[in-house]
Parts: sequence; C-alpha cells; structure tokens
Amino acid sequence: MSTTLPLEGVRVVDFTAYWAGPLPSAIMADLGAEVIKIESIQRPDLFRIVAVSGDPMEVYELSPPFNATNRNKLSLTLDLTRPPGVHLFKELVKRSDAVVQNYSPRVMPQFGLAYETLREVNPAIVVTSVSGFGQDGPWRDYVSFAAIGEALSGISGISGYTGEGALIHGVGVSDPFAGYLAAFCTLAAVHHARSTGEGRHVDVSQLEASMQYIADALLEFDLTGHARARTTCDDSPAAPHGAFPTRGEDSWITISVENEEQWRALLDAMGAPVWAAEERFATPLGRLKHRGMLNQHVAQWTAERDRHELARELQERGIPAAPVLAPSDLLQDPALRAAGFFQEVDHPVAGRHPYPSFPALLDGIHPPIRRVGPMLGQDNHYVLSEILGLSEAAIAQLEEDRIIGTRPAF
Amino acid sequence: MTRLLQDIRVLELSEGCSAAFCGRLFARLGADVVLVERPRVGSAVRSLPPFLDGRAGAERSGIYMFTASGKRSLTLDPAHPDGGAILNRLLARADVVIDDRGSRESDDACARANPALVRLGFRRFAAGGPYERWLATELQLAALGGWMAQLGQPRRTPLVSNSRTMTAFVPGVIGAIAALAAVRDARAHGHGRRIDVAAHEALLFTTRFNETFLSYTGVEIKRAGDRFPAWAAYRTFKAADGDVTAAAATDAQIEALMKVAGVDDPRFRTRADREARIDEFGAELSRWTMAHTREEIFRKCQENRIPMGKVNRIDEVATMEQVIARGFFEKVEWPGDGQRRFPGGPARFNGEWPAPRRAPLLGEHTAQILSGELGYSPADLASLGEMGVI
Repeated sequence: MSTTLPLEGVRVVDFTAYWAGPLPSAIMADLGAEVIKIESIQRPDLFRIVAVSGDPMEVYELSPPFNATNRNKLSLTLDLTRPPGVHLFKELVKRSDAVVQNYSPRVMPQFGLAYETLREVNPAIVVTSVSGFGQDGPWRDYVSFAAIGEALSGISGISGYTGEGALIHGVGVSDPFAGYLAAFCTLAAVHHARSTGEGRHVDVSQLEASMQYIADALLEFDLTGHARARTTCDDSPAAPHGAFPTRGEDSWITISVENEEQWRALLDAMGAPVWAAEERFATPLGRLKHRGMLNQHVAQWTAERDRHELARELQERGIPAAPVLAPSDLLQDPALRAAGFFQEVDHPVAGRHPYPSFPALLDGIHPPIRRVGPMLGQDNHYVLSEILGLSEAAIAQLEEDRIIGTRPAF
Repeated sequence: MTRLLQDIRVLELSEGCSAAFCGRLFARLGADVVLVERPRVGSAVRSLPPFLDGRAGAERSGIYMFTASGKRSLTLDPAHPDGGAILNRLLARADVVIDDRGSRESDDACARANPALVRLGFRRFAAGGPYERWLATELQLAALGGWMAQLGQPRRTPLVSNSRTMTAFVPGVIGAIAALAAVRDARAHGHGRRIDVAAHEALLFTTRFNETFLSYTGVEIKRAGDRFPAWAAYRTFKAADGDVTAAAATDAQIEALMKVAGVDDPRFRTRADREARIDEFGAELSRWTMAHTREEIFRKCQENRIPMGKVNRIDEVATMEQVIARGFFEKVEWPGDGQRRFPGGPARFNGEWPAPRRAPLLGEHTAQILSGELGYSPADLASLGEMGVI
C-alpha cells in the first residue's frame, strides 16, 4: 500500500482553455503531478466567463466548470506575446516533463513555442496538443468545440429519437473523450521519455477521439454494411429495454429485460397482466418485433410508481432497473455519498461547493481535491521564485510590465 | 517509434468492454498485453456484437477484433492447480493485471504473487455501497451516471446514444490512465497498488460538472434537445439535406455567423437580446441554413472561423477528407477474411500512428508463452492440453 500519489515528481505545463485541454492536466494533477496552468491577464481562459452570466470582471473567479476543471493546479500568468513571457515559458519547459496545450495549430508557432523549438530547449519534453481536427490535414485550422466533434464523428447521427433530427449531447462528449486519450498518451510518452531522454509531440484530435468511442457503430458498418441510425432506445437485442415514465415531473426509470427469467420476474412484479398473455409477447422475438406496443403497456404500469422504489423492487427481483438521475438527484444519491464521490472544497471567492472526484480508488481512496480554481495568477510568486529562481525585484518588474498580474483585462 | 510502453507487461483477464478497451490502449502503445482466455470458449468479449457478416462466432466479433488489436492470447483455466501455477508465474513478471471478474481473494493472491504489481479492477458500482449488487446494462449505468438526463428533448423520454462502446469505453480509459500512472510509482518504489474503477462514477465524472454548477448557481442543467441550455447559437439547425451543428460560444463567433447568414436585425444586437429571443433568433438563422446543404454551410462557416459541423451519418464518417488525409482508419488483415478497415488511434506521436496489428486468434500465443518464455516442454503442453488447462 502506498501513501503517496503516483505522479508526485512529475511537472506539467498547462497552456489550455475550455475543457478538452484542461481536463487531461487536471487528471494528472489529481494523480499527484505538479501542474502549472498558464494564462495571461491579457487573455485568460475563456471558460472563466462563457459558462456563467454576468460582467466578466465580476465572475471570472466564479465559473463552476472552470473551477472544477482546473482543480489541483497552480496558476501562473505570462504574456506570451512579448519576449520575457516566452523566455519564462521556455525556462519552465526546461524543468518540466510535459506541456499540454489545446489552441489551434497556428498558435504555438506564432508565440515561437512550436514543438521543434521546445524540443531544442528540452529534448525530453512531451508536448501534447489537443485540437479539433489534428495538427495537419486540410481542416487543421478549422474551429471546433465539443458539439462539432460530436456532429462530424457520427455521434450525432446515432443520438436522438427514431426518425427525428440531430440533438446536442448535453454531456459534451467530444471534449472528455479527447481529454482522456490525451492524458493516457501523455503519460505513455512521459514514461518513455524518462527512460530514453526522448520526448514526443502527441497529437490528439476531438474528431478522431470521438470515433474511437463509437467503435461498435463504425465496426458494424465495416463488418456488415449496416449503418445504424438514431433510435429512441438503443438497438438492444431484447425487449422491453428503455426509459419509462414514473410518478412526478420529468421522472423516469430504465428497465432492461435480457432473458426469460427476467421477463417472468417482470410479469410477477406487474401481477401477470392480461395483455401479457397475448401470443405476440410469448417469445423474445415476438417481444422484440412488437416492442412499441410492449413499451406502451410497461409505461402504463410504471407511470404511477415512484422511480426509486420501483428500481429497488425490480432489482430485488433480479431485473436491471435504475432511475434516471438529474444533477439535483446526483447530489443526494446514496451510493455517491457512501463513496464520498463529491468532495466539498473551499475557494476564496466562490466559497464551499461539491466537486466530483477522479473516478478511481487508489488503494481504496479517491485522490483528494486539495484546491479548486485556481485564481488568476495566484501562484506567480511561487513559480517564478521557487521553481525559476527569480529575485523579488525581477518579479516586481514583470508585474510592472504586465507580463504577469492577477487582474484580467477582458 | 510509437512503442512507448514496450517495457511494460500487462496481464488481462477481461470479460467486458471496459477492461478490453483499457488493454487495447496499452497494447497499441507497445506494451506486451497477454489476454488470458478460457480454454475453448475464449473471453466473453468475443461474444459481443457486431459480428463479421452479422454471424456470431469466437473469431467474428468486431469489438473483440478492435479491442484485442496487438494483444497476445493465452488460453488458461486458472481454477486448475497447474493453471493457477502458470498464472502466478505470469503475475510475478507483470507490471499490471487488469481483472474485471476478480474477487477480493484473487486480488490478495495477485498481491502475494508480486508486491510491485498494479492491480486494476473494473466494476459497475462501488464496492460496499447501496448499488453494489445491482444489475445493470449500459442503460442503467447511463441513467445513474447522469448521462440520460442530458440527452433528449425537455420532458420527453431521456435517451442514450445508439452505441454501447461509447459509455463502456469510458471507465476503460480512466482505468488505463490510473494504472499507467501507478506503474511509474511502482517501478520507482517497488510497491504496487490496488486501483478500482466503478463505471457509475466514471460516467458521472465525464458529465460537465453539472452538480457543481447547481451548487454555485441554483440552476439545474438538463437536456435541452437540439441546443445547449441558454446558449443562443450552440445548437443544431436544419439544412437542405440533413442537420448541421453550430457551436458559436463567443459573441464574435455569433456575430460572424449572423453576418454569413445575412441576419442583420436590431432585435438581436447584443448577447442579452439574442438570449431573450432565443427561438426567434434560431428561426432567423434557420432560414439561411435550410436553403443550403450541410457541406456548403460547414465550408462557408469554417472559412469565416465560425465553429460549425455537419452532422454525419455513420456511412459518411470514413469519407471525410480530413479523416482520409490523416489516415485515421487502418487496414487490418483478418485471417480467412481479407482486409478490414478499422478505426485507429489513440493518437499520433511525432506524426506517426501506432502500427496496425490484428487481434490474436483464440490461444494463438499459448505455446509461444508457455514454452518460449516459461520453459514448459512440448510434452508438458500436450499434457496441459489433455487436462483442459490450456
């Protein structure tokens, strides 16, 4: 059993914005790496303001997704449009294992911080670039957010009601999908660099990441020629299987019957209704063919029941069933409470709020969220003095020149 | 060179998609991943659809072919004393064991066999919690993990996407990240760790911090159909030949979109105006999108630096010029069937994709591992085979 976090001793320079780039470095920070998030007072991470309403100057420390995504990180401001900022960035690269950045491919070279340059500064540096479409190809400079990766990758083509149009996936799947692969690939390249002294440029795109997660749909098209489409319930080979209304506003339960035993148990739970004796519902194939009618019958039965009680009852009878939980339910969910999944953390401006843990137990414990935020430039002194060895006078000069600072200019 | 993990040995005892995808990530980057399969029947992953030509069979599962790319297959019955002895020797030389069917006892046995081993387990729900024994398909996990509440029209049936790997791979990559981080530490200090990933928690972590948002603001974010809640131009639009998705987040992007679409109306001048008249604003933009094809809209907007995507069907995905130019899909020879074209990944390293490698046939590497690496004789192998151990 180990009492330390696994990535202690690894340092990451995070030059990211929004979610897809900040997420992988947050995961590394959760696992113990020292992650230094670089913004500038001239151009802070816009995730500080786009997700909240109000005057940017009032809300930039109050963005829930920013504060949650950038947990366990240090904040340094550097104006990279001027030589002293670029110089300090390179000094940090000399002392780091990895850089994670998610600007479009033009941006790093514009600052004089292309991978080729950083490799000269530190041959072992791993530079991970997370982008919409990748570092080359005809679309490399196209603009992307999560929903764009979702649309192009085929995810939107298989997300929605049968026969209806495309929807937006509220989870914003392309961002975390790319972010997770970026975290794994960065760690793999750091592993290699630590033993060989050779870094890598890791090129992760939202579009390509998203396609990997819907492998079943893409493989099916290659193996059978069938291109699946949107269905109100996923293409399960058994029925009933889906979400059914329960008592109360926007209240739902999912039920999945996968075999004869579960079907009989469901009939018992429903009290052997008359309709279920019809011949068309007698076999699995019949139920699958008549799933529309079957679902209507089941929905009538669930409609007046409580989703939590019904889920427990069906589970006791051996049937996969669960209530559909929204954010307000999740904050109260007994399983998440028992696991300590949401950690209450204080923030100097935002106060105390719950934040989700990195979803793995290391020897039985979620990695702690030591701090959230960070506030803009709050670690300027620590990074410049402790890591880079600058004098107080030199730091004061940087402040005066607005290379660093703590008040943004939106 | 993309074999960044070539000095790492992984032993995979998997029955589900999450563990299988986790093993794939290690194998793609050059780790030696030995998939331990049940003699004759193989891993349960081999029984997951889709199948080659739609017909089930141990060597016909697409999920297996994809997730087992680059792994080695060893058949072994660990319940048999000789099988258990072989497993212990494999554990002793491994860095990571991935086990989604393991119990507390088997975990203790792994730790005894090799104290520096990283032991990664996958389960649906956290051990010891109220859902521990609950049954769940991907649908129940999406319901409890906060995903279904975020897809669908408000008040209508909440949805999941029509892809089971989309949710099943999420815990897999989370586990891969944690295990790889732990290998570094185990190598440095000589002690392994136990890592547990609950799919329920992995899915919830993947949603956009909606519970934190609720705590800060009192506003509960839920599915909003064809749009992202409260954002005026982060939504889908009807085009002449299907749908497009705009993800205009900043005012500059929204104003550029208005210009391209010819929307010049005092009612929509400021962000507040647009959000107050969000439906009228959407209708104005739709008049332009409905008169153009997805391709025209995508090109025109992207040329003006507006985040816009066309909604592709599954049969269109591999034909995108960017996907072709980057060579994302890879050609894989499949014994007896010729060439398949599968998604590649996970990423490019110095411009290179990891090389395509096919999945192993059932037990393809049993002899290589047992006699070549562990020193069993051909006669031993024959006996083990007759006893049903391999």
